[in-house]
Amino acid sequence: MFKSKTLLVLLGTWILLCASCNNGSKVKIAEINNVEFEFEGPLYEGANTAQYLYSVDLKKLLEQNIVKEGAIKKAVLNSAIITADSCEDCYNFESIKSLVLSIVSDGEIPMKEIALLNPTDSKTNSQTLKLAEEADIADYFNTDKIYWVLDADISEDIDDNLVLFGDFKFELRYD
Amino acid sequence: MKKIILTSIFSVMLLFMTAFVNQSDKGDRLKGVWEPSNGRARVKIEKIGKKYFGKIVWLKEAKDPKTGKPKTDKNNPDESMRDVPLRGYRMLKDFVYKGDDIWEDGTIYDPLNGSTYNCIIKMSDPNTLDIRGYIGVEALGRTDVWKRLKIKKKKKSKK
Repeated sequence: MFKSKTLLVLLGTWILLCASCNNGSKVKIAEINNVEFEFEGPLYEGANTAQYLYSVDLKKLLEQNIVKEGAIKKAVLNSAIITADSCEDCYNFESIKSLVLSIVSDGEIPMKEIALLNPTDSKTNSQTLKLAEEADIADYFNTDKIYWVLDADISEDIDDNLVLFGDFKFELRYD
Repeated sequence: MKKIILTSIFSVMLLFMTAFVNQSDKGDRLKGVWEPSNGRARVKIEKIGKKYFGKIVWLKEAKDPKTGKPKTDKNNPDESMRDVPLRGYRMLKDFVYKGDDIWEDGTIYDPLNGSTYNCIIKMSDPNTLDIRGYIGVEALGRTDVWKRLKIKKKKKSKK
Protein backbone atom coordinates (compact mmCIF):
# COMPACT_ATOMS: atom_id res chain seq x y z
CA MET A 1 0.00 0.00 0.00
CA PHE A 2 2.75 2.38 1.08
CA LYS A 3 4.78 1.49 -1.97
CA SER A 4 1.97 2.18 -4.42
CA LYS A 5 1.27 5.59 -2.78
CA THR A 6 4.94 6.53 -3.06
CA LEU A 7 4.91 5.43 -6.68
CA LEU A 8 1.84 7.53 -7.38
CA VAL A 9 3.44 10.61 -5.75
CA LEU A 10 6.62 10.07 -7.78
CA LEU A 11 4.65 9.65 -10.99
CA GLY A 12 2.64 12.82 -10.28
CA THR A 13 5.81 14.81 -9.56
CA TRP A 14 7.38 13.52 -12.78
CA ILE A 15 4.30 14.52 -14.83
CA LEU A 16 4.30 17.98 -13.20
CA LEU A 17 8.00 18.41 -13.90
CA CYS A 18 7.56 17.39 -17.53
CA ALA A 19 4.64 19.76 -17.94
CA SER A 20 6.62 22.68 -16.48
CA CYS A 21 9.65 21.85 -18.66
CA ASN A 22 7.69 21.80 -21.91
CA ASN A 23 5.70 24.89 -20.96
CA GLY A 24 3.60 24.48 -24.09
CA SER A 25 6.52 25.27 -26.40
CA LYS A 26 6.92 23.63 -29.80
CA VAL A 27 10.00 22.15 -31.39
CA LYS A 28 11.23 22.60 -34.95
CA ILE A 29 14.29 21.18 -36.64
CA ALA A 30 15.47 24.01 -38.88
CA GLU A 31 18.24 24.09 -41.47
CA ILE A 32 20.45 26.84 -42.81
CA ASN A 33 22.29 25.60 -45.85
CA ASN A 34 24.91 26.87 -48.29
CA VAL A 35 26.35 29.45 -45.93
CA GLU A 36 29.26 30.80 -47.97
CA PHE A 37 32.50 31.54 -46.17
CA GLU A 38 34.88 33.45 -48.39
CA PHE A 39 38.40 33.82 -47.04
CA GLU A 40 39.84 36.75 -48.96
CA GLY A 41 43.35 36.07 -50.16
CA PRO A 42 46.22 36.25 -50.07
CA LEU A 43 46.02 34.00 -47.03
CA TYR A 44 48.99 33.38 -44.76
CA GLU A 45 49.79 30.26 -42.80
CA GLY A 46 47.86 30.24 -39.52
CA ALA A 47 44.35 31.14 -38.43
CA ASN A 48 42.28 32.93 -41.07
CA THR A 49 38.72 34.18 -40.61
CA ALA A 50 35.67 34.41 -42.84
CA GLN A 51 32.27 35.76 -41.84
CA TYR A 52 28.80 35.43 -43.27
CA LEU A 53 25.96 37.80 -42.44
CA TYR A 54 22.68 35.95 -42.04
CA SER A 55 19.36 37.80 -41.75
CA VAL A 56 17.15 35.96 -39.29
CA ASP A 57 13.76 35.12 -40.79
CA LEU A 58 11.89 33.21 -38.11
CA LYS A 59 8.73 32.88 -40.21
CA LYS A 60 10.73 31.01 -42.83
CA LEU A 61 12.75 28.99 -40.34
CA LEU A 62 9.72 27.93 -38.30
CA GLU A 63 7.40 27.78 -41.33
CA GLN A 64 4.83 29.91 -39.50
CA ASN A 65 2.87 32.93 -40.72
CA ILE A 66 2.96 34.73 -37.38
CA VAL A 67 5.91 34.60 -35.00
CA LYS A 68 5.96 36.43 -31.67
CA GLU A 69 8.91 38.66 -30.78
CA GLY A 70 11.41 36.70 -28.68
CA ALA A 71 9.65 33.48 -29.63
CA ILE A 72 12.75 31.28 -29.55
CA LYS A 73 13.19 29.83 -26.08
CA LYS A 74 16.01 27.43 -26.82
CA ALA A 75 18.22 26.84 -29.85
CA VAL A 76 20.77 24.09 -30.06
CA LEU A 77 23.03 23.25 -32.98
CA ASN A 78 22.41 19.64 -34.02
CA SER A 79 24.93 19.40 -36.83
CA ALA A 80 27.47 21.55 -38.64
CA ILE A 81 29.07 20.37 -41.85
CA ILE A 82 31.69 22.35 -43.76
CA THR A 83 32.43 21.44 -47.37
CA ALA A 84 34.88 22.63 -49.99
CA ASP A 85 34.27 22.82 -53.72
CA SER A 86 35.19 19.59 -55.42
CA CYS A 87 36.54 21.19 -58.64
CA GLU A 88 40.03 20.28 -59.78
CA ASP A 89 41.64 23.67 -59.09
CA CYS A 90 39.80 24.30 -55.82
CA TYR A 91 41.50 24.13 -52.45
CA ASN A 92 40.46 21.28 -50.20
CA PHE A 93 41.11 20.27 -46.63
CA GLU A 94 44.68 19.13 -47.26
CA SER A 95 45.82 22.67 -46.45
CA ILE A 96 43.36 23.27 -43.58
CA LYS A 97 44.41 21.87 -40.22
CA SER A 98 41.43 22.84 -38.07
CA LEU A 99 38.07 24.62 -38.18
CA VAL A 100 36.22 26.59 -35.49
CA LEU A 101 32.68 27.86 -35.97
CA SER A 102 31.46 30.81 -33.88
CA ILE A 103 28.42 33.03 -33.77
CA VAL A 104 28.34 36.83 -33.28
CA SER A 105 25.63 39.47 -33.00
CA ASP A 106 25.83 43.26 -33.18
CA GLY A 107 23.94 43.55 -29.89
CA GLU A 108 24.95 42.75 -26.34
CA ILE A 109 25.03 38.97 -26.77
CA PRO A 110 28.63 37.80 -26.49
CA MET A 111 30.40 35.79 -29.18
CA LYS A 112 30.16 32.03 -28.72
CA GLU A 113 32.18 29.15 -30.16
CA ILE A 114 29.69 26.48 -31.14
CA ALA A 115 31.60 23.80 -33.03
CA LEU A 116 35.10 22.72 -33.97
CA LEU A 117 37.17 20.13 -35.74
CA ASN A 118 40.83 19.61 -34.89
CA PRO A 119 42.36 18.02 -36.85
CA THR A 120 40.37 17.95 -40.07
CA ASP A 121 40.23 14.83 -42.24
CA SER A 122 42.23 15.68 -45.36
CA LYS A 123 40.87 12.67 -47.24
CA THR A 124 37.31 13.95 -47.45
CA ASN A 125 35.74 17.08 -48.91
CA SER A 126 33.10 17.32 -46.20
CA GLN A 127 33.95 17.90 -42.55
CA THR A 128 31.50 17.21 -39.73
CA LEU A 129 32.33 19.49 -36.82
CA LYS A 130 32.22 18.46 -33.17
CA LEU A 131 29.52 20.43 -31.35
CA ALA A 132 30.04 22.46 -28.19
CA GLU A 133 28.10 21.01 -25.26
CA GLU A 134 27.26 24.33 -23.61
CA ALA A 135 25.80 26.23 -26.53
CA ASP A 136 22.22 27.46 -26.23
CA ILE A 137 22.08 30.11 -28.94
CA ALA A 138 18.41 31.11 -28.57
CA ASP A 139 19.28 34.78 -27.98
CA TYR A 140 20.87 35.05 -31.42
CA PHE A 141 17.73 33.82 -33.16
CA ASN A 142 15.73 36.53 -31.40
CA THR A 143 17.81 39.22 -33.16
CA ASP A 144 17.65 40.53 -36.73
CA LYS A 145 21.00 39.27 -37.91
CA ILE A 146 23.65 36.77 -37.05
CA TYR A 147 27.27 36.63 -38.18
CA TRP A 148 28.50 33.09 -38.73
CA VAL A 149 32.27 33.14 -38.26
CA LEU A 150 34.55 30.37 -39.48
CA ASP A 151 38.20 30.20 -38.48
CA ALA A 152 40.40 27.98 -40.58
CA ASP A 153 43.95 27.15 -39.55
CA ILE A 154 45.84 27.01 -42.83
CA SER A 155 49.10 25.09 -43.15
CA GLU A 156 50.55 27.02 -46.10
CA ASP A 157 50.30 30.44 -47.72
CA ILE A 158 47.57 30.62 -50.35
CA ASP A 159 47.77 33.35 -53.00
CA ASP A 160 44.08 33.14 -53.71
CA ASN A 161 40.62 33.28 -52.18
CA LEU A 162 39.35 30.21 -50.38
CA VAL A 163 35.65 29.39 -50.30
CA LEU A 164 34.00 26.92 -47.94
CA PHE A 165 30.32 26.19 -47.44
CA GLY A 166 28.38 25.48 -44.25
CA ASP A 167 25.24 23.42 -43.69
CA PHE A 168 23.78 23.79 -40.23
CA LYS A 169 20.90 22.03 -38.52
CA PHE A 170 19.26 23.32 -35.34
CA GLU A 171 16.66 22.26 -32.84
CA LEU A 172 14.56 25.35 -32.11
CA ARG A 173 12.15 25.37 -29.15
CA TYR A 174 9.66 28.19 -29.53
CA ASP A 175 6.34 29.62 -28.31
CA MET B 1 12.05 79.28 -49.10
CA LYS B 2 11.37 75.62 -49.90
CA LYS B 3 14.86 75.38 -51.41
CA ILE B 4 16.45 76.79 -48.24
CA ILE B 5 14.58 74.30 -46.01
CA LEU B 6 15.55 71.37 -48.24
CA THR B 7 19.18 72.49 -48.32
CA SER B 8 19.23 72.83 -44.50
CA ILE B 9 17.74 69.35 -44.01
CA PHE B 10 20.24 67.87 -46.46
CA SER B 11 23.15 69.63 -44.73
CA VAL B 12 22.09 68.36 -41.29
CA MET B 13 21.71 64.81 -42.63
CA LEU B 14 25.13 65.01 -44.26
CA LEU B 15 26.65 66.27 -40.99
CA PHE B 16 25.18 63.32 -39.05
CA MET B 17 26.32 60.83 -41.66
CA THR B 18 29.85 62.26 -41.67
CA ALA B 19 29.97 62.12 -37.86
CA PHE B 20 28.80 58.47 -37.90
CA VAL B 21 31.34 57.44 -40.52
CA ASN B 22 34.15 59.24 -38.68
CA GLN B 23 33.22 57.51 -35.42
CA SER B 24 33.29 54.13 -37.14
CA ASP B 25 36.64 54.92 -38.81
CA LYS B 26 38.16 55.99 -35.50
CA GLY B 27 37.12 52.68 -33.97
CA ASP B 28 38.87 50.82 -36.77
CA ARG B 29 42.23 52.17 -35.58
CA LEU B 30 42.17 49.27 -33.12
CA LYS B 31 42.59 46.84 -36.00
CA GLY B 32 46.07 45.41 -36.45
CA VAL B 33 48.52 43.08 -34.77
CA TRP B 34 49.47 43.76 -31.14
CA GLU B 35 51.97 42.29 -28.70
CA PRO B 36 51.30 42.03 -24.94
CA SER B 37 54.06 43.16 -22.54
CA ASN B 38 55.26 39.60 -21.84
CA GLY B 39 56.04 39.11 -25.56
CA ARG B 40 54.72 35.54 -25.45
CA ALA B 41 51.93 36.06 -28.01
CA ARG B 42 50.72 38.29 -30.82
CA VAL B 43 47.08 39.19 -31.18
CA LYS B 44 45.37 40.32 -34.36
CA ILE B 45 42.36 42.58 -33.80
CA GLU B 46 39.65 42.41 -36.47
CA LYS B 47 36.12 43.70 -36.86
CA ILE B 48 33.13 41.37 -37.14
CA GLY B 49 29.88 43.24 -37.69
CA LYS B 50 30.09 46.32 -35.47
CA LYS B 51 32.35 44.80 -32.83
CA TYR B 52 36.07 44.15 -32.44
CA PHE B 53 37.71 40.80 -31.67
CA GLY B 54 41.33 39.78 -31.13
CA LYS B 55 42.74 36.36 -31.95
CA ILE B 56 46.13 34.88 -31.16
CA VAL B 57 48.13 34.66 -34.39
CA TRP B 58 51.54 33.82 -32.96
CA LEU B 59 52.80 32.10 -29.85
CA LYS B 60 56.38 32.08 -28.58
CA GLU B 61 55.84 28.50 -27.41
CA ALA B 62 53.44 27.20 -29.99
CA LYS B 63 53.83 23.55 -29.02
CA ASP B 64 52.97 21.79 -25.78
CA PRO B 65 56.36 20.64 -24.37
CA LYS B 66 54.72 17.48 -22.98
CA THR B 67 53.12 16.27 -26.20
CA GLY B 68 55.08 18.13 -28.88
CA LYS B 69 51.76 18.99 -30.50
CA PRO B 70 50.36 22.52 -31.08
CA LYS B 71 48.85 23.94 -27.88
CA THR B 72 45.08 23.82 -27.48
CA ASP B 73 42.71 25.58 -25.11
CA LYS B 74 43.06 22.85 -22.46
CA ASN B 75 41.70 25.03 -19.64
CA ASN B 76 38.40 25.91 -21.37
CA PRO B 77 35.55 25.57 -18.84
CA ASP B 78 33.54 23.86 -21.60
CA GLU B 79 35.30 20.48 -21.87
CA SER B 80 33.95 19.90 -25.37
CA MET B 81 35.93 22.90 -26.65
CA ARG B 82 39.35 21.99 -25.26
CA ASP B 83 40.64 20.90 -28.67
CA VAL B 84 40.39 24.44 -30.08
CA PRO B 85 43.93 25.43 -31.16
CA LEU B 86 45.41 28.27 -29.10
CA ARG B 87 46.91 29.76 -32.22
CA GLY B 88 43.84 31.35 -33.72
CA TYR B 89 41.99 31.51 -30.39
CA ARG B 90 39.89 34.64 -29.93
CA MET B 91 40.99 36.00 -26.55
CA LEU B 92 39.47 39.49 -26.97
CA LYS B 93 35.75 39.51 -27.68
CA ASP B 94 32.84 41.87 -28.30
CA PHE B 95 34.50 45.29 -27.96
CA VAL B 96 32.47 48.33 -28.98
CA TYR B 97 34.04 51.70 -29.76
CA LYS B 98 32.70 54.33 -27.36
CA GLY B 99 34.67 57.37 -28.59
CA ASP B 100 37.67 59.10 -26.98
CA ASP B 101 39.96 56.17 -27.93
CA ILE B 102 38.10 53.78 -25.64
CA TRP B 103 36.60 50.36 -26.50
CA GLU B 104 34.31 48.78 -23.91
CA ASP B 105 31.76 46.01 -23.24
CA GLY B 106 34.30 43.34 -24.17
CA THR B 107 36.03 40.47 -22.41
CA ILE B 108 39.57 39.10 -22.27
CA TYR B 109 40.30 35.40 -21.86
CA ASP B 110 43.38 34.08 -20.09
CA PRO B 111 44.22 30.69 -21.62
CA LEU B 112 46.63 29.97 -18.74
CA ASN B 113 43.75 29.50 -16.29
CA GLY B 114 40.62 29.42 -18.47
CA SER B 115 39.21 32.59 -16.88
CA THR B 116 37.35 35.36 -18.67
CA TYR B 117 37.50 38.93 -17.38
CA ASN B 118 35.64 42.11 -18.23
CA CYS B 119 37.95 44.38 -20.18
CA ILE B 120 38.41 47.96 -21.32
CA ILE B 121 40.85 49.00 -24.02
CA LYS B 122 42.31 52.51 -24.12
CA MET B 123 44.56 53.67 -26.94
CA SER B 124 47.14 55.93 -25.31
CA ASP B 125 48.83 56.56 -28.66
CA PRO B 126 48.33 55.02 -32.11
CA ASN B 127 50.83 52.25 -31.29
CA THR B 128 50.03 51.60 -27.61
CA LEU B 129 47.03 50.03 -25.90
CA ASP B 130 46.23 49.89 -22.19
CA ILE B 131 44.32 46.66 -21.75
CA ARG B 132 42.57 46.58 -18.38
CA GLY B 133 41.04 43.30 -17.25
CA TYR B 134 38.84 43.16 -14.16
CA ILE B 135 36.14 41.24 -12.33
CA GLY B 136 33.24 43.36 -11.14
CA VAL B 137 34.90 46.69 -10.35
CA GLU B 138 37.24 48.28 -12.88
CA ALA B 139 39.33 49.91 -10.14
CA LEU B 140 40.34 46.45 -8.87
CA GLY B 141 41.67 45.28 -12.22
CA ARG B 142 45.10 44.96 -13.78
CA THR B 143 46.42 46.83 -16.82
CA ASP B 144 48.80 45.45 -19.41
CA VAL B 145 50.44 47.57 -22.11
CA TRP B 146 50.32 46.21 -25.64
CA LYS B 147 52.40 47.51 -28.54
CA ARG B 148 51.42 47.56 -32.19
CA LEU B 149 53.50 45.41 -34.50
CA LYS B 150 54.49 46.78 -37.84
CA ILE B 151 53.82 44.01 -40.33
CA LYS B 152 56.02 43.79 -43.40
CA LYS B 153 53.99 42.84 -46.42
CA LYS B 154 55.27 39.78 -48.24
CA LYS B 155 56.66 40.50 -51.69
CA LYS B 156 55.22 38.45 -54.48
CA SER B 157 57.85 36.17 -56.01
CA LYS B 158 58.75 36.90 -59.63
CA LYS B 159 57.81 34.19 -62.07
